[in-house]
Amino acid sequence: MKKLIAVLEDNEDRRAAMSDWLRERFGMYDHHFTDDPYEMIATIKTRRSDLLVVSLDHDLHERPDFSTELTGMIVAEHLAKDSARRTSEVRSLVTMGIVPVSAPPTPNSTPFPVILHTTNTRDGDTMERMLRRHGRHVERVIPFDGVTWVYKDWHRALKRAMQSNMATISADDEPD
Amino acid sequence: MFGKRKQPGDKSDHVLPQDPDSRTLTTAEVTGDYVYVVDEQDEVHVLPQRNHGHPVVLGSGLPGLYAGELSIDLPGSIGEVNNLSGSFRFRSKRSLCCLAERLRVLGFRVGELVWYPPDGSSRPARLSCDPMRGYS
Repeated sequence: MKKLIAVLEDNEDRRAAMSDWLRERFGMYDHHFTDDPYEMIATIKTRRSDLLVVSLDHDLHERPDFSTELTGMIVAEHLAKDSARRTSEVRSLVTMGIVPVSAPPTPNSTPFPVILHTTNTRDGDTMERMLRRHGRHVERVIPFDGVTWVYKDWHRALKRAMQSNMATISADDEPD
Repeated sequence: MFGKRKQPGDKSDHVLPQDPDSRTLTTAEVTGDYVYVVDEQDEVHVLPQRNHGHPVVLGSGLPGLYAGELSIDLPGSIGEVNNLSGSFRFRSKRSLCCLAERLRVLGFRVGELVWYPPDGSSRPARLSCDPMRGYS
């Protein structure tokens, strides 16, 4: 199964630029775009172990329904609650002696990183604090200059996020 | 040694000429993010990071021995070099080590080598090269 990059974004120009960029530079991975925070949460639930990185916008006013109620905050709140629940579950297992205190992290226990690509500084700050408090690696990108930021700041943020907790492998483990 | 040469994957790219900003990499290159292609003479050519940059680093559908991105943190110092190129899609880890040796010969200090799996089955990984092996 390929790893997945998931993006919450409502603006058509940004989606087109991000999608083109992902196809060109990260074509080896699956990509999922949505402007619906609840669809993003469903994707997170069904493909958690495949997720490489999730990139969230906050304001989604350019949806067809012009909703001001649906925002990226809904996804951030879900991730925060989910992290809290998982931490609580692990604590219970340790207390019951089912999992040793020093158990190594598994792919599902290491939270995937999140990029916040929003011009809404106030709500972006709230999302960042909420996610960091629950141990998630967070990158911030401020969109500017049309879609140029996609090829520059967002690309760098994608790489930093994917490379967080990066493993080391040997060049000599491939056949001659 | 680098592996087999490859042309850019999309045939429509083969008519694109070399970009006028493409140049041979030297330690005089300024700080920034670049795409690179290694040509058949082992020369490293760079172009400032841009959308669909790899096919026009050499241009005219010319084949390369390796390709990806590199970042110059300071003149003479490369922070990261990787194999990210949708046009060429090189997969060899040893060729990335070979490139690192080539960059050192050119006078660069080389930071992290980051390898992205071409089949998308895992996260990128930091590449470790055996200093005793000799990849060039």
